[in-house]
Amino acid sequence: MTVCRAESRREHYGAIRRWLTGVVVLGRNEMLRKGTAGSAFEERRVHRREEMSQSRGETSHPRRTRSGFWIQCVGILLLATPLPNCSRGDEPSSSAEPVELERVVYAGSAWYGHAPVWAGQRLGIFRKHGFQIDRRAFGGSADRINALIADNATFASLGEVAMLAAMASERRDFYWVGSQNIAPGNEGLVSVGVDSVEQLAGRKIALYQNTSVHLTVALLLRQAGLDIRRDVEVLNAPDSAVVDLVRSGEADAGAIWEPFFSDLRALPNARVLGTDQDTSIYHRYRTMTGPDVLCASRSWVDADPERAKRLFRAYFEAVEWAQAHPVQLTEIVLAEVRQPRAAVEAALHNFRWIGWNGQRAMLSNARMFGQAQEVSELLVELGRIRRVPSFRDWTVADWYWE
Amino acid sequence: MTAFPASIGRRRELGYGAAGIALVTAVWFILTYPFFVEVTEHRTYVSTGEMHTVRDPVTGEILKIERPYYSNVREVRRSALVNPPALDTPENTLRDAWELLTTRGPNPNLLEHIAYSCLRILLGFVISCSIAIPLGVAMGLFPRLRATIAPVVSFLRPLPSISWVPLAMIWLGAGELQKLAIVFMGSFSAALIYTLEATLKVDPNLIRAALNLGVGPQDLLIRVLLPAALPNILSGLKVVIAIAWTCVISAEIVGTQVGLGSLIWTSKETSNTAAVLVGMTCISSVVLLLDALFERLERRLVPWMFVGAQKEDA
Amino acid sequence: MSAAAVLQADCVTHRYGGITALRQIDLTIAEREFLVMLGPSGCGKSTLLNLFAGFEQPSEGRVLLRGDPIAKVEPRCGVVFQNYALFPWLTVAQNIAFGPSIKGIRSPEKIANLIRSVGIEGFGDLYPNQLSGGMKQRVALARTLANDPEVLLCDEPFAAVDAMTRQVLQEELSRIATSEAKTVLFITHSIDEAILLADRIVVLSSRPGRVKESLPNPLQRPRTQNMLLEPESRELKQYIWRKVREEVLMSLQDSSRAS
Repeated sequence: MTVCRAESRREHYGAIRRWLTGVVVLGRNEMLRKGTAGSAFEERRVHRREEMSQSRGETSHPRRTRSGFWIQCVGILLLATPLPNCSRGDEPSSSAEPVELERVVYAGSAWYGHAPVWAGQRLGIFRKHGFQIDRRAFGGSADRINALIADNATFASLGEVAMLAAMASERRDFYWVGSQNIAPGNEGLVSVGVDSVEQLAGRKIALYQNTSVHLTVALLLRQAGLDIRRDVEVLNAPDSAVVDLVRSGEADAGAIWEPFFSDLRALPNARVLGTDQDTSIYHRYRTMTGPDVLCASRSWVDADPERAKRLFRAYFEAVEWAQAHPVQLTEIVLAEVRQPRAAVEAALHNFRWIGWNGQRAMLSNARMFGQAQEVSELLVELGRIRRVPSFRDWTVADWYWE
Repeated sequence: MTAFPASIGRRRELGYGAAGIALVTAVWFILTYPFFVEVTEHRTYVSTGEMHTVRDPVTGEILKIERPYYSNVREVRRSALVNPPALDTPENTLRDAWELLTTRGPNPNLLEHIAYSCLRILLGFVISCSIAIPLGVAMGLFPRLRATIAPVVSFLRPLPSISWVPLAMIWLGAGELQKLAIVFMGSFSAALIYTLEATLKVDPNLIRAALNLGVGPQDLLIRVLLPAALPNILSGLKVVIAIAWTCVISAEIVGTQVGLGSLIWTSKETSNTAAVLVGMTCISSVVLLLDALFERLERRLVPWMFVGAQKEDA
Repeated sequence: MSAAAVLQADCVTHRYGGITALRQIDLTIAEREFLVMLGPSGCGKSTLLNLFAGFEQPSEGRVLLRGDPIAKVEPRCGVVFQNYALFPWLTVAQNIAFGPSIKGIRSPEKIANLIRSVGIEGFGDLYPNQLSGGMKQRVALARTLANDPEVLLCDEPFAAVDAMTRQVLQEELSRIATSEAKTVLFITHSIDEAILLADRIVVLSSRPGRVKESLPNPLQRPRTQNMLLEPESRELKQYIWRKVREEVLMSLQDSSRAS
């Protein structure tokens, strides 16, 4: 419906320049926010503008317009290369600090499991050990694993399911460093109008597929004699959408983690049919179906194992601080995350943070290794992965026995 | 260039096309064939049975655990220029596709994925067209209506289908209606604009000739305007159905386990590149098939566009 | 108003888009008369034809068909367009039968007769875009005739047709106009065509259009191409050309002044 009129070459060139400057600014803001280079969409728009300007016929001042345009493009490319940026929650800096800090990238999100890194930055723990953390947000666990494998991030906390899936695809370039927290009771299955798990046969359940809640529900159903693949209909929905689906009546039950779990429980007529603490995996291994795990880029670790151990000692020091100071931790989390205080406190209440000394016990058959075996078998049964990976080969559990 | 555009005849075109496909397959083969021998070193866990007792940091229980040892294993592996999961060999990909096609278990098989996606897209497309075509014709006939609706269409037109996912989820939940809505929003403004242009391009002399031959205003729409605009509307619809298919992933990202978009998105989460390729290939094939069917339909509905000029004298 | 007048423009002025196309033009066409309008480009010939057809209403003045004002599109004044305006989705036979089929009349014999009389036998089942220009114009003519109009309004119908086909079509139109006893208003740029076809030639002035000259054609029907070579015709042509030339020069001056 709009018609573009450019009266003269000059006017048109000026318009292109203003627009490109806008793109450059946009691109830089995008990059700062997400830590990625300019998107392919913007590049395509640049090319389209180029076509448009060329179709108008650059005959009067070809040299000027063309070289000016290419300078802009080079400028954009230069700006698009990753630059060090200022992340939130910077460590307290003192002006007389000539020490060279090692820059490492942490891939995280707004989930409470990343709280140790937030705390460690604010308290200067990483700085003390010689590291500067560059925080980048990656939406899902699968994206974070990809980032580690491609060495775009140094270390990350992510969901165990995504890690096992990557292992099952024979992707070797990361390490499973540790198991830094468990938080049972933070996710569960809530129904409206259905009284027991058995009665869910033939009904619809909203959950976030390929994550821990998917497995939790599969186990709860199996324990009640139902098969998640045959006896119920699964509606895939992320986070808050699960609550919306149950509230609107489109799903008879929903399963998700905090803070949406609280939202589910707050619905009228809601009944908690089970949490991750009711699963067979919890009974055997005292942990949930898909807890957070700590992973690192293999190439970064192999380049200097001592440096890696130093980083993770710093990390686990922050973890131990978190376990010892729940009140201050809540304050730090509230500063980072826009959630009501009551929800944050309720969720953090369930968190158990496990430091360096606890990793020996965690990375064993009695705990995470046994759990990973069962979870992998469940994933194979659900058709998510092809075979059970030999996940121990990705671990560095001997660090904790030195 | 003495003759432009040059043409080489249908047979030769097919031949060169087949050669093009063979070339791409050959490149794929070369990229993924494990020519190289790679020696990688990685650790593997060694179970020695050396048991220790530790205390569980959370519950305080006493646990008997095995001390972990690792040995460095030299793995001699064959590797290619491009390795899985980035790209798998053609045979593995075909094998995965075959498995996906023939699985009988509770996991949906490929035909079910295709069927569900087709149903959603085609239904969304049909609903979208049944509103867009009458509205487009009306806009073509009534300039005030056109001017009123034009800003709304300009706003809707550039929006990609995925930008509608959040709103659609809030308003319609995650059921089939939400998916149809996404396909609808993705294809509606394109269908509207093509229909509007087709209507505006009708030769005004045809209208005058019809009026002059005694057509009343009520007959004018059905007997003259629609047949005159139909060829352009149909060619626009051919483009719109391909546009509707680009909405398949946005539509199926939430609320379903079956469908080509869902297949691609789920496989991304489990690094299953072969399934992603299979999904993409299916989408492409379905669109090509629909294109061919559409062309058949066009030949039926607008046969006069396909007859060549015989150009008899005087 | 004479009793034999079929079409009449009574002091018609027509304006659109800020220009005055016709100013106080008076024109009368008698029963069975073949009137040809000549004039420079933009003098309002097509505008006047559109007013007679009812496609537009005059800004001032009236246009009358047998004394009744033409208030809407008038099927009794059949139009033959310069660019044929054939319906591409109908075959030749269906195009010709279009007018009657609107009224619900089906008469295949009449259609067949028309096809024969315009000389396109055997092409009834083809689509218009399979035909050459000359054939299309024949179909257009047949389509208009199928509707039995009282008047034929022809807006430079042979301008887009090649010269040799044009000669053939001119003779055919002349023959049909005589045999079917039609009143015809014919617009052209070609003086030869005017002399060949017209019973009366009207020269319009440049914009705004008025009747500059109206002269009856001394040559009698039936007229052939050979008659154009007679000295009588040459004189007539020179006379008409002088008249038209004045108007053409004036309209060129106007347009150069305007730009």
